[in-house]
Amino acid sequence: MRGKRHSRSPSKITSHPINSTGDLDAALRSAKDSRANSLFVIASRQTRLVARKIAQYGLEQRLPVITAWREFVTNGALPSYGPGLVFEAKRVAGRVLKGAKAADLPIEQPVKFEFIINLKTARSIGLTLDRGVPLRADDLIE
Amino acid sequence: MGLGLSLSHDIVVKQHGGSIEVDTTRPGKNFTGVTFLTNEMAAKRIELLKEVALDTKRVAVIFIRSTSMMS
Repeated sequence: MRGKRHSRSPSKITSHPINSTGDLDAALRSAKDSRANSLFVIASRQTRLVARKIAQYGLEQRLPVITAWREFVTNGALPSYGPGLVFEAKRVAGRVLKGAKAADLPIEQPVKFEFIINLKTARSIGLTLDRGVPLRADDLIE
Repeated sequence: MGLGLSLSHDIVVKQHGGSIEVDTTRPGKNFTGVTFLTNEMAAKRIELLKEVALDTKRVAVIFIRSTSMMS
C-alpha cells in the first residue's frame, strides 16, 4: 500500500448512538447532517438486525460502510475486518460436541480475522480501489 | 457476546493500568465464549477504511447505546 496516497490527517469522527434499531433513521439523518463521507458501524447483535438497511443506505448515498462482520458486507457494506462469527461458533461448538462441558471452556479470543470486500458495492458507489487492496482481502464479494 | 468484557478491559487495563483476572476454574459466570475485541480493533478498521476509500475524511460512527452490552 502506498502510504502517500491516503490521507495522513486524522479523520473527523462523529458519533451517532441509537437506543434501539427503531432510531436508525434518525441516526442516519444525523450522520448525513455531519457531512460524514463514510459510515462506521459497531457490530453487535442489534446492529446486525439492521445490517441490510444500513448497507442499502450506504449504497443510496454512495458512502462506504465499514463494520466488523462479514454479514454486513454480504448485505452490501463495503469492507469488514474482524472475526468470522460462524467460524468461531463452529470452533467452540465443535469442542462441546466432542464432549467438553460449555462451562469448562474459558473465554477466548478469536483465532481468525477476515478482511472482506464487496467489489460490487465499490463499483456502485463509484470507488476505485488501489490495486493492492483486493489482493489483501480474504474474500471478495462480486 | 464479550463486548462488556472488552469495554471493561479498555477502562480497567488501558486507561487505569489495572488488570482483569478471569478465573477459568470457576466458569459459568458469563465468561465462557469468544470475545470479539470490538473496541480494540476499531482503530485498525479506521485505517483499513482509509486504505479502501482513499478520500475518507469524516467518519460517522453508528452504534447501539445499551446498558446491557454484555449479551
